[in-house]
Amino acid sequence: MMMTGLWAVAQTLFQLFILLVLAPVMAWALAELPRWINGEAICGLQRQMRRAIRFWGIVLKLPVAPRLALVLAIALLIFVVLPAVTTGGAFVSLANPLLIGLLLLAGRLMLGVPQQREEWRRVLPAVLVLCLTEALIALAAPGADGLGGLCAMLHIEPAPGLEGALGACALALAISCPPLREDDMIQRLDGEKSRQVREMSRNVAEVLNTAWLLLLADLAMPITVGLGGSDVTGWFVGLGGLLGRLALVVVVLIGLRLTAQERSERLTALFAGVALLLALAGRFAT
Amino acid sequence: MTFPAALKTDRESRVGRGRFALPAALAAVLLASAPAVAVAIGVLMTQERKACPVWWALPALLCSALMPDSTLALLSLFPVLFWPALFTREGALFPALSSVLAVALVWHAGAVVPIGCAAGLAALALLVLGRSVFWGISPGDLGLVRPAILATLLIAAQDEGMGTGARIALESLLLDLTLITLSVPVLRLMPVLVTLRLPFPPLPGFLVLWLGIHAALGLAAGVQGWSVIGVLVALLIGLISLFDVLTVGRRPDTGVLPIGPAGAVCGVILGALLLPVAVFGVFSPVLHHVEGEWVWPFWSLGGGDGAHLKVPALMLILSVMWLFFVKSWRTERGLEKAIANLLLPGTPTGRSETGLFEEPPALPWIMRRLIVGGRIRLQALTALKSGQMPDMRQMAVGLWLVLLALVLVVLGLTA
Repeated sequence: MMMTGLWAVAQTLFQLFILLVLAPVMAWALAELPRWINGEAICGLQRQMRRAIRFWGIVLKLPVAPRLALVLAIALLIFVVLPAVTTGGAFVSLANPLLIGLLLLAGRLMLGVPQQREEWRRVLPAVLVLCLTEALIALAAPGADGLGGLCAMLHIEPAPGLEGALGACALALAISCPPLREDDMIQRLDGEKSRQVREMSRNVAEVLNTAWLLLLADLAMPITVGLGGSDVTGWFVGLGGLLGRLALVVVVLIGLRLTAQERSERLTALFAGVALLLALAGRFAT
Repeated sequence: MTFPAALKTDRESRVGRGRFALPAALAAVLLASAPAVAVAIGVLMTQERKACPVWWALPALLCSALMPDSTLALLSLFPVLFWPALFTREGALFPALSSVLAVALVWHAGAVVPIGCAAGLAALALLVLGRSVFWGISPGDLGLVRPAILATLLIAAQDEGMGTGARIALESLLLDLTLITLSVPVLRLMPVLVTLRLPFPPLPGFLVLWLGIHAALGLAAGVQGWSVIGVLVALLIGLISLFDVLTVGRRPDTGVLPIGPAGAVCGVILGALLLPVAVFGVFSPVLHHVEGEWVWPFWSLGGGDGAHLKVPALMLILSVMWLFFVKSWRTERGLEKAIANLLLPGTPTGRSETGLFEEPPALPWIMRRLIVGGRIRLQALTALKSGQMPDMRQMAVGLWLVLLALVLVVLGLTA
């Protein structure tokens, strides 16, 4: 009993560490890969890593501004809570998709001073799609407790209709509410004079983006979480699954950005409808 | 007949809006039967600023008094109830009262069909939404309709004998009604607390949304005819919560109580933590009456289908992390300053800035062509009376398609 508890806590801490290391990599990939595909010269990963290390040094040493600290705490909370590597983490039972998603969106609204109109147009469809996701999980997999329970349940009792529906939901979320980008941050920090605060906000936005990517990845492919049992080898298999999922989500997001399909209400509605139909069809088929 | 008297005094005292009416209405909910509720609606109508037009209200009230078991009569009463809150520009005088009375109506209604009732309420909400989107009018407080929807879910679950589902719906309903009734005096005393209705996670509005979705989906998963309409009702609850974001909390002005920003944030946090606990504690006899076990959901709120919501634990982790990042122990009175700093004037709630309802949406050209074409055809149809035949050649293909679709539908239904 004691050992299982310790193993769960250790898993959670490992997961937090890995995701914190992955955050600058994700930010680099989201910012630079589209330019690389366009044939422009890009800077390497080292610069981003150095920036992140400096940022965490400042965060650990100095007090952070309260609102920024709240956003950062939300992002880290999501790193801790979501089932990223295995479903055996200590706090996995807290991961309700609607709860997590709305927390993330609230954090997004609290970062800087967002352009009201633009931001609401992105957040409101995302909230609706999140409600749909929660509804579909409750409809097609009753008995699953949050995302962790869903991942564990899909291994026992596969539900292809639900998986397809969740993939479509994740795509709709990615279309309606893409991660924050450099120009978004410039707009949000318009009135901010202090260079230090701007730098901090940028880094917090990167961490928040990674949390959003992780939520999308977990929603898109819940089957890859906890594939190989709950021991150490299973943990490494789960790590491979995590990297694969995140890479897939990054590729899809970059594809959406390059083809200029994001933030389109029609596509969001289309994929939400597809998700609904898939889930209903899967339910009636059984 | 304390009810008309209470309303009368309440209208004359300009300060205490809703102070007398609310206890009277709650008494009506608990004690009265359907005819008394109908009388109360009639009285409410005469007291409102802009009531529903008489040509609709009078037949609706008569029908509901004559045929208390008819679903249609019940549905026709909802526009009468929600007219001042939803269709007029300046809002209702007694917003909470209309939703309390709606819940009482649904609760006391005899043998109504819950599916029809839910579909009617959904149609009403969608009508209001469509009107506000296409005419570019900002919508009224749509959240007032949600208790009625939840009450419908409650009676549907009770009809099907699903105790847990009924309990979930009732929890959500009680929390929502309490929030709506409390928001009336709170607007005067401490307007910040209205944010408790917002559907963001630690706030009770989120609990209402989550419980409502799970109640609807419990019905959709468990009862035969509810599969599609349950999902639709769940989505509708989500949509109404979205409109709560747009309409609630657009007044960040100071209230009567003298509190600083730190006090305001503390009030919101305490309200978010304590309100659900207090509501479920106070109404636990009612909850127990609906479903047979004594549970006092504090740490973990069950969704009825195995899902659990553990908001306090989440908030605990979040606050520990936040305190660690803020490091409030470094400076003097650091915690107070940090909490006060959370409430910036730029907090993004407010309808005036969102600009969603300021102009009607620009429809794509293909839609506009369709609409104009439809208008022309309508004019042609009206011209039929004067003996001119419209040009039917262009409509021939569409006519055939419609006929084909009808045949296919009939075949599908008979197969």
